[in-house]
Amino acid sequence: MNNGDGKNILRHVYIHVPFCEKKCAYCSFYSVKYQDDLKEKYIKALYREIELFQEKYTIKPYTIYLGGGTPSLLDPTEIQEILEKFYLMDFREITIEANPQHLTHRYARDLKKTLVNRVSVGTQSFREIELKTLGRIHTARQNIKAYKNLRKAGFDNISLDFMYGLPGQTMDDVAISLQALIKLDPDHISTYCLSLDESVPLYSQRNAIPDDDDVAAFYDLIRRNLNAAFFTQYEISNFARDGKHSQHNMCYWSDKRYLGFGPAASGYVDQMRYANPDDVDAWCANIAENRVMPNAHSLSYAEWENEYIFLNLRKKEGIWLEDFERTFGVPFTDKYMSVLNKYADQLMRTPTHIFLRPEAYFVSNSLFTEFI
Amino acid sequence: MALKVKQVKHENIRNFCIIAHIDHGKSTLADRLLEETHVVENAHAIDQILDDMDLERERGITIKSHAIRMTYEMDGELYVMNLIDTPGHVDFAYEVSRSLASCDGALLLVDASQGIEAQTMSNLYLAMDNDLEIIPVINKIDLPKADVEGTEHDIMENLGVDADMIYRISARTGQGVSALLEGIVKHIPAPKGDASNPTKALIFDSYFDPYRGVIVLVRLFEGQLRKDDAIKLMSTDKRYEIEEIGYLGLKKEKAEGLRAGDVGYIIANIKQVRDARVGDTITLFDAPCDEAMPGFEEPKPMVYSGIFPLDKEDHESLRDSLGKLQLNDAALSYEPESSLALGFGFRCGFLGMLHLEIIKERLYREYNVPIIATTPSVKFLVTLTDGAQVVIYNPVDYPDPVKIDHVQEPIMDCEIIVPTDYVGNIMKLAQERRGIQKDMQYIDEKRVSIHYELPLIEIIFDFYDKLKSVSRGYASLDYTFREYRKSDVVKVDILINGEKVDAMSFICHESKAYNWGKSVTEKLQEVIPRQLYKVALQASIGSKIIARSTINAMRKNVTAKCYGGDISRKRKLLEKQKAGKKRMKEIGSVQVPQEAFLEVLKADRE
Ligand SMILES: Nc1nc2c(ncn2[C@@H]2O[C@H](COP(=O)(O)OP(=O)(O)OP(=O)(O)O)[C@@H](O)[C@H]2O)c(=O)[nH]1
Ligand code: SF4
Ligand SMILES: [Mg+2]
Repeated sequence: MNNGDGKNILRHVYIHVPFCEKKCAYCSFYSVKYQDDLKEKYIKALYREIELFQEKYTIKPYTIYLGGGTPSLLDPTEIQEILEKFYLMDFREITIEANPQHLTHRYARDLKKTLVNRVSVGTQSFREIELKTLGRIHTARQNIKAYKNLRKAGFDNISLDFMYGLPGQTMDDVAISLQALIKLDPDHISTYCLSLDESVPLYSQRNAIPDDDDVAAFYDLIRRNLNAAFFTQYEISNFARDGKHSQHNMCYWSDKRYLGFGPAASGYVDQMRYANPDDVDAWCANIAENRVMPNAHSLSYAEWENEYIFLNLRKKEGIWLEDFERTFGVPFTDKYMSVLNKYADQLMRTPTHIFLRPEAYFVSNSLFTEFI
Repeated sequence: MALKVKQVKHENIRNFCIIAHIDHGKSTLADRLLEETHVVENAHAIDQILDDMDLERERGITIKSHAIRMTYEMDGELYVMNLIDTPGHVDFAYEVSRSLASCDGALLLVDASQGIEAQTMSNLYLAMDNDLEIIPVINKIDLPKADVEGTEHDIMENLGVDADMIYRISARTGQGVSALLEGIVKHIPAPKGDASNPTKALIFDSYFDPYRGVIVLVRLFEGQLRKDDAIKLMSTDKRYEIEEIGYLGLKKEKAEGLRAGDVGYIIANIKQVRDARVGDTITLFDAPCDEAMPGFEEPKPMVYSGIFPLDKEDHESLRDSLGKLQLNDAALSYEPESSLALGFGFRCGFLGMLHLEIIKERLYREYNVPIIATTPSVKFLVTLTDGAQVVIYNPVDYPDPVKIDHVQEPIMDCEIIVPTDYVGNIMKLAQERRGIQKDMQYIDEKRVSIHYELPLIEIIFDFYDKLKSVSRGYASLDYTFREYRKSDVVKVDILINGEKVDAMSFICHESKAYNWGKSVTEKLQEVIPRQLYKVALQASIGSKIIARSTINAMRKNVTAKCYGGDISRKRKLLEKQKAGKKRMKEIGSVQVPQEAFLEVLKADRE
């Protein structure tokens, strides 16, 4: 089976660190309140989980991504120890997500001593009032400080998060935050349009969220400004300076196989997608019984093809026709001729690729459903 | 008991009905009478015994006519009383008139808390037309807000009767009901007619029983009918043989035969109710009477609507269900219709809007077929320039306007009874609906009866609701067909992205075209979700656009950040969206949800 490079080797690893100091008001990711003993338990189980997978698969990561939750709640030494569980001769990109309040001068310096070479900072906004609404426990000042500390420590691949579509937000609010963000000159920017689950506290303010037209206009503003500042939009919500796109995230959009470790992590291996239980204890219990890849779902051919299409179309370059045909045995343009004709305004083609016009990114789900 | 009943003398039969405005308590009074005569012991256990359809019980309205036989002893004499319960809604005015024709007397029931209302009057006139002896009865005297004196005054004024002829009762508590029974015996005449004359029986209702075929309810005016008699239906000349005959007790009571003056049922291997139509006359095949009973009419559908299965797969079962409903409902007509937008369905004819609602609901409830009904229409008579006349009851068939000489639309005679305070509001409403006022009379100091001529097409769209709302619920309405009248009507088409949606076309008066067209396009704008491109919604007369709305292009449908973990979830989300799209109809490459067809019906018709 093709595990990413045709040699049955798994090249991409995601590790979920399920701890946060305080739950943000909009967040529906799995995380629990940080406690030292819980962390100990987690790390021990994580080591075991890595072993179990290594018994099953050859894992030689190109990319490792520590996401959360809040991975910056781990000490740099703990991070390094986790990384060292893997074969690291081939690595290219190791990212951790960090919250601004943790990125002190000292933390940044120590982090630089590990193999981590990319930091994704949860800055989210540069407006104090918005940070408060979101229930973030850092200030805009801390955002800037965090960024500068990372630079000082020598990081040359820093990503900042930017959220929009917030309750009460105006075009001016977006523009101001955006200017502050651009001024910092990061290497990469992840944008995130707020969407609220019924279960989160901020749901009560859903009516204050600007309407679709406004949010779409925010998105356009963001795109135009970032393009003007020489960021390439290489994916629907990601922007990067040349060569600084996230190699790890690109594996998702390119139908590459990856392993997920930790509670609530998911993985894609062989022809299966699996998701770990979103509960530390349940996840530990599985591992204690040597059980990995619970609830694995074997993708049907149709599901696989659908995923392949909608994931690839998220990327700037879109679907590589040759790869599609090699993978699925039919020419894409034959199979989806009628959709391509009907949506000729939205789906562009070159001799080698089919891609989405950036103007259609914000309604991409409607187009993706056409391929189902 | 059965034996005794047979011995009842002809002059001891009383055939009567209860007439009233809707909800004044007919069915409840019927229950009390049944108790009082020991047909049932405790009618409170099931309210409204005669309303046996689920729908009737639930809506608290009587849809079909019913009859029941009671016996009553007074001064040592045994009497048989046949009570015929009739529907109260204007849609069923014809059925009511046939039930009245089967009686010799009527209880005119008036709700003491409401007073005389439009259908009190129209039913009263009907009863007088049929020469019925009328006993005025004031009901609901138990209600705290009952105005017994005022109601009595009203009745005296309008019927020209004395106070001592008016009975006061509470159908709910039973107060006054036994006195009323005596009154029935005293005031309502015994039936005329002679058992030795040629047989003449009036069908006042018929219904379908899946085991027995059609059960025909009749009133014998002359002669007799016996088991095994060969009979003839006079409107069709069809011959049948009586398999079973009898009286209508709480259950059917078999008998040897029925005689002039009797009310009862016949089973004669009749397959569908349309073969035994209300108002038709039954006579003996070998010794027929000369003349049928007067007043027979074919059921006349007044309102038409296309009925389509929500799910294409259900087409067959929709056809079957309509067939089954028609077995029991001669007034329902249907024929196949196909629509570009909705596929295969049926164009159905109804007596009125209530009838339409009932059929829609029964299709859904009893037959489990979810449907879409298109905008109701009435029947227009179109005279073409070449002199030919066509009947149009489907806007799709409306001829090219250049070929039309003129069009006629149905006009109704309407009677509206309303407190004087609201007369202004009513006049304004009627004017908006192109009504012509013909007459206005005072019922008493506080209330007037206004007579209008109103086009039916203006009545079917929420006229009744509007009438109620501008009169705080006090106005009551009754209407009957008057005539076809020349009118400037036009056909309005609805276009979605330039493509005509046949199922949404409608015919209306020229002066309404703009407003109606606009409210339909606005409604569509609300209910059609945004698409990837701008969608134009237009209303047009021929090639002239009279109203337009725009649905802006969709701006947002994105998973703005996709984590490694949520790819399965995202796929499911897309699959769900896709399933939603599949339930829509594609018109002019626009995804139109099914609800849009229902919602256009709710568009304001001011
Ligand atoms: N308080 C009170 N309520 C009554 C009385 N008679 C009837 N009602 C109530 O009035 C409502 C209408 O009564 P029905 O007997 O269904 O009226 P109806 O005339 O048969 O109605 P349709 O068949 O629809 O024309 C019901 O809620 C009855 O319970 C009465 O004497 N007193
Ligand atoms: S820090 Fe991140 S994972 Fe934790 S609660 Fe906030 S948004 Fe959620
Ligand atoms: Mg009733």
